[in-house]
Amino acid sequence: MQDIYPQQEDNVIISTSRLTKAFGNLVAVNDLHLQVKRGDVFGFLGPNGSGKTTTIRMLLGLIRPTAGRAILFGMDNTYQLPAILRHIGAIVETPVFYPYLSGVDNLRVIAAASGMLSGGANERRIAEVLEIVELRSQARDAYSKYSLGMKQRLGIAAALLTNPELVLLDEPTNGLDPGGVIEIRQLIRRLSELGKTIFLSSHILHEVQQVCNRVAILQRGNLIKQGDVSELLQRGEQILVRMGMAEETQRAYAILQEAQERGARWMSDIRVETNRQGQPILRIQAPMVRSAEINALLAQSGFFAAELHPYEGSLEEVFLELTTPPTPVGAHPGMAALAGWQASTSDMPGRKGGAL
Amino acid sequence: MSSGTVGTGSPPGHPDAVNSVIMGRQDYLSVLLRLTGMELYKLRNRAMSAVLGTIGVLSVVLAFLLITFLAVIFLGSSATQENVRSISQLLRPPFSLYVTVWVLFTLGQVLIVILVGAMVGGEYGVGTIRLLFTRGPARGQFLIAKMLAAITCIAIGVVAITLVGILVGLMLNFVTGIAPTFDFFSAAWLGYALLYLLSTMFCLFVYATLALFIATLGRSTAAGIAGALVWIFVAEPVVKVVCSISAAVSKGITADIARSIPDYLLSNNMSALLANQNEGLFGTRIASFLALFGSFQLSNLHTLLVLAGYLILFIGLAWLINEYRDITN
Repeated sequence: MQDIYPQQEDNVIISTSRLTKAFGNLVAVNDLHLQVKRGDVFGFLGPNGSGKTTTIRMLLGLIRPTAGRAILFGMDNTYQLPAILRHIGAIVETPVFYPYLSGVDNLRVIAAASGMLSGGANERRIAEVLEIVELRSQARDAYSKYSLGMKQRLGIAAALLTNPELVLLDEPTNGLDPGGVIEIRQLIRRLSELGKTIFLSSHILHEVQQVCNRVAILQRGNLIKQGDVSELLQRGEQILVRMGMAEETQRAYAILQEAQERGARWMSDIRVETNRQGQPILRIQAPMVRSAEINALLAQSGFFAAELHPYEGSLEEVFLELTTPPTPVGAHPGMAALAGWQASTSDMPGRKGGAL
Repeated sequence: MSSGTVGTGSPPGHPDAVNSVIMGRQDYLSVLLRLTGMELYKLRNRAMSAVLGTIGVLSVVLAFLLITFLAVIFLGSSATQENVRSISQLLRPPFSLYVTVWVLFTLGQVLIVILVGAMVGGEYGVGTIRLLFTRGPARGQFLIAKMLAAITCIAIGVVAITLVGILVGLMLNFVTGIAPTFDFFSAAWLGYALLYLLSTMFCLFVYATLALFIATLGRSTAAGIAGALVWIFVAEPVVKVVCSISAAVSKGITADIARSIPDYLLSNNMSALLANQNEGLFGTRIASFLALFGSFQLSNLHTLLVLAGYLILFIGLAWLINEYRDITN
């Protein structure tokens, strides 16, 4: 069991240890150990209800953990929350502001609440953040008339207002159109280039994959994986093989299984699936550099692949792999997990039979 | 920490163009004052505040118009000059002060409950509470800032409406043809008047803390307003009736307890506190007359202690809830 006070390295901005939150019998977050380093663009992944927002609320002191600790900037948030919050700009779920105030008036209120001088001293900064999120022309409109996308932008403007070291964004692209999503992604990259640490909570895996360097995956309150995106994607590396004739696929499957049993352990999983054209294919969990060896194995047995395609994989597949119990040969993997994820995901690309 | 700027100085429009971020002082009092200013800024930009203020002013004006109307009827009838003088003296100081404060207190308790209920409950109802609680200041500072904003509104409201009431009364008094006299005016009277207004403000603030507590507990504007109004207009009158029946039908210590319970109710103590100031302001004869409308044999010390007890209770409970509640909405 780890110490309740986590080891704190200088470059670690967020560190949680055994962080747990239970609402009655429901354990929303269980024994969470997170480490976010300075300069990270940290993706916090999980389907709706997995405990992401509860974790963020605990980090921000909105809810108290049932057990465990959260250390931010080297300070325990149970005792030094005000000092911690001065370094953070955050959006928690859908941003909400005062509906009877305009966008700019809302930012003035937030500026005062954030410790910034009021009375016009920070008007330039307010104008700047409105410019960043491209809301300057609608700044004087009533917030109640804003679209969901504009509300999200105003939320980001509020988060950036004090130039925080850590920007904590909970589902920042909710309600944004594709153009808005791209802009937010670009903004996150720009902020990262400026040395800011970004904690991005999202259930949209491909969004996280594009901007984050590190991720943590949460499922039903439990941390199931944490690490570099590149390392995780290596887990998802696959080789897809389509044989010339459909009936050869089962034979090729048997050849590769046999090779695996004989010692080719670099093939961790071999499955028969159907691609978008309805053709059978082999999906082999193996490093891309092994493509030639697979080709050779098949060729030695007199079978020749019509297509052999390295497939990098995605966080979505890593998630499925990590969360799905072993399935019978040939069965579509991760259906249960995928169903659960898709139930909470509107714009995730469906799992297809690779590029073949 | 003193005020200062942060950042490195990047071109405008750039995310790191932060040389323009000017931080204020971060000591407890400075933060508190800034948050109070923030609360007042929100109130100033809220239509509700203007509506409530207008209702307050119009009510006082209407009360004086009604008195003027009655005086005009008396003038046109066979009533004696003495009768006209009696009714119309409510238009002139010092009695116009009594009318103003009576209207102000009667209506003010509803207005302040609406104002504070919306100010506190609205944060939970809309969800802006999480916006505030993630900005740095301690939760308690936000609560105190709301109380300071309520005090400011009460003070401005009481002073402004009192001045409006007295001026409107004097203007309408011209109709009666009776010249106002200021022979009552002295330093002592001014002191009593000040005490009277402070007592009114204090009573309204106690109602504000009642709304603050119930809105915090109920996490909504509706709960704050409805809960406080039910307390004022339903719960306390019911307790008074129940106690009075119990005192009538029982004997001994039970009857004594039933008789003494109303002495610890909010409304009785507030009425007593205000009534206790009447003698110094309006003279013994008038004070005795006013006491006919509600006799409360409670000393200033008793009322102040009881009201202070309620204040501590309401603020303390609101503080505890505010401090330890999980913000999950």
